[in-house]
Amino acid sequence: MEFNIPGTIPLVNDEFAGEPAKRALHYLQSKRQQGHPVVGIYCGYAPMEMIRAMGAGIAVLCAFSEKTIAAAEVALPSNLCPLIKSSYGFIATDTCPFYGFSDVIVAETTCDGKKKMFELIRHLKPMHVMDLPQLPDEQEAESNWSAMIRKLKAFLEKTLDRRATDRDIEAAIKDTNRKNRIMNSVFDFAARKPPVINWKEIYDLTFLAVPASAADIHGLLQESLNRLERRVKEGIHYGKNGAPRVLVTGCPVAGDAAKVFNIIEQAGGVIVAIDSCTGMKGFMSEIEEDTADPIAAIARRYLKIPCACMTPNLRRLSEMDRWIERFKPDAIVDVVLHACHGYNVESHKVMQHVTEKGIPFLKIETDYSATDVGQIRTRAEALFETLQRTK
Amino acid sequence: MNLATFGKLQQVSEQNLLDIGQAKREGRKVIGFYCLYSPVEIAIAAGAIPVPLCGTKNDPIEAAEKVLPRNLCPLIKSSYGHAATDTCPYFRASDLVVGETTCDGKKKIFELLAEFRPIHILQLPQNQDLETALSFWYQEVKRFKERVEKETGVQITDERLSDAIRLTNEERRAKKALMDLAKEKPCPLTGRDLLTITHKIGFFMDKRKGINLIQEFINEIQTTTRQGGNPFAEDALRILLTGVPVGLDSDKVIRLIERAGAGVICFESCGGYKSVSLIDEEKEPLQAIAEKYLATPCSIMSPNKGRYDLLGEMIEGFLVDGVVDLTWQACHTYNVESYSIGQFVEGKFHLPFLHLETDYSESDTEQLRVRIEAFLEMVKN
Repeated sequence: MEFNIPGTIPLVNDEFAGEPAKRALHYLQSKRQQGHPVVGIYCGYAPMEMIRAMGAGIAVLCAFSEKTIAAAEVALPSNLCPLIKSSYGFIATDTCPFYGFSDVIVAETTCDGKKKMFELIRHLKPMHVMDLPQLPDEQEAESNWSAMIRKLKAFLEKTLDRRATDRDIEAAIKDTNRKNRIMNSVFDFAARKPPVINWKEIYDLTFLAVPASAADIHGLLQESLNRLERRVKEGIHYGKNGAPRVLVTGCPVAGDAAKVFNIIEQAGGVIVAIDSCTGMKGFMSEIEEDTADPIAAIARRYLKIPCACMTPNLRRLSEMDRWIERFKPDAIVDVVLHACHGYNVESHKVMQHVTEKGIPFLKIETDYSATDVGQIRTRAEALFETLQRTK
Repeated sequence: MNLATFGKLQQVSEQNLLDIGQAKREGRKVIGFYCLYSPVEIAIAAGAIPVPLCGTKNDPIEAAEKVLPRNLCPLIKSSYGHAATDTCPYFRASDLVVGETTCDGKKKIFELLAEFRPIHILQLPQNQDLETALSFWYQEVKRFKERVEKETGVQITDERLSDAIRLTNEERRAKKALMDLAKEKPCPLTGRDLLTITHKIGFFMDKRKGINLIQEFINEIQTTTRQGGNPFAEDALRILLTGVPVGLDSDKVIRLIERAGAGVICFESCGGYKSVSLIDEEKEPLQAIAEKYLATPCSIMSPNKGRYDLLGEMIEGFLVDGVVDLTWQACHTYNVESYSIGQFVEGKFHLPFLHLETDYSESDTEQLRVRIEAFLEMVKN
């Protein structure tokens, strides 16, 4: 799969094109050199505005490589999600530079495996585990989660010897909103028919935009938008005209799991929306500005994240409707990482919901190994063949 | 063992469902529970009948897998399968089913069970931090009380709650007395018998009947052993079984250990010693209930310090020779925790430790038998 016009300039035209993690690492290094402390995070539930309000840099920790899994399985069961095993393996083998840079680690009780894995790394660096509400729609969820964010604030202030005033927090909220608005303008180019941006370019931006502040990357984002507009003017688009548009939902997909994306493209599909924490999901909602209690505003926003660790996660279905409306997919692929019970059980509901809308649905349960590549390819090809027939 | 009280147990068990049916016809509500974190006192205080729900049989798993992933804990698949195939009379009788956000799999199947019965979910904190978790949990328990009041039309006063606490505490004391018989050497009852008694009595509508029957068992066991009728040889190995809940139909590991001549002396699991810690009768009742249940040492808590404390207490109190840690397949929390538990048992107590991961099927029975026999051989030396 490629651009219709050969020689199209990459969206982020630097030495890191196609290697988004390296770009993020470079960014983090520069933050550190400027004297900022670094906070390592694992998950989209980490209240990043609080971390930035402390003047700290954010390191999204390594979790996407098959190569650290064997080392992890010395302590962890093999029947566990590869993301958790890989995360732990990176630490056990001391091979995650992001972890190396981190002064403290912030984690959440999202799923069983993560929660228990954190117990095994808690003693290595200062670590704060936030008790995440599991029923986001319950009346007390907001105050409970706010209390956890306040505890995080106290932890960071003490451990990093930094302070965050309400004004700092409010400024961080506004920064996030500004960033998310620009990112959504970028995503609009994926929503176009045909798209003018590909999934690797989306990752080039999201991998940096998750940890970075708008202030730090505004220029790069604006430049990317300009480039995308130029592409439209020049008639550049990605993939064949009429290639089936795929919305990928489910677990985070990156590194060795990105094999799924490659296979989809090789089978003729074009990825137009990535509904997961490594993709577009984290940029989809705004935080209320200028409220009397900015921490409560942050709490409300994070509780809106439609993750399968929540119950009942009905917001995933209503958000899915909005995504379908916006990105107009021809098919939906639900990626479930092996042994991720939350997304695995929820997949049934998602399948019912989207098939009722008449959109073909494919669930792929996979891990980071290459053993199932052939099988996934066959299933992706079959999916696109059905689409051809029904067209 | 061949105890006459087993006949009586069978008789009351058979009568029990008929009694529940009769009570329902007379207007009493039935509330179904899945987990040891459920505050049953609230149901009792409202005059409702608390019943445990089925989840220990292999049969309904195939039906469950039409909707649920295969790679999920058999207890969860069995629970869902029983409900989906309408093969659990207690689920059928329930006017309200109670669930907790314990583990990922359970949390998500309650969404699907809502299709069959009204569900009330208690949001369980994931740690036992007294500063924040306890006040959150207290709110949840209070909300549950309000829900039960609405369902039953009964106002749950402190007095009613205190009565319920006294009753369940009495049951806990009786169960503990029965379990503590196993502190004797040689052990006067088999693990399989203990499980049969606690499993069946757990379903009794009338807690009083259960308490009396446990007392009868204790008396009969003591008389029998005085007369030399002990199920174990003097030097039989004493095994502590820790980990996931086991029931009468999911007891293959217990059967295998005991067939090999060793005794499962005590259970550090939900049906076992975890279930006999008391509620403080002096405190404000709802607060005391919240405190007791939050302290349950399950692996879904992080960290789960209480499990290590309880294990240590049991290893010493029951003169244990070896520890077997049972994990149901794909139960991540017990599976991951097993690593630290193994280090604790071997490091602190210098006891042999065996971790077994299995499901409800019989497909691996032979393999388990070989591993268990090899383990017991090692314990002996």
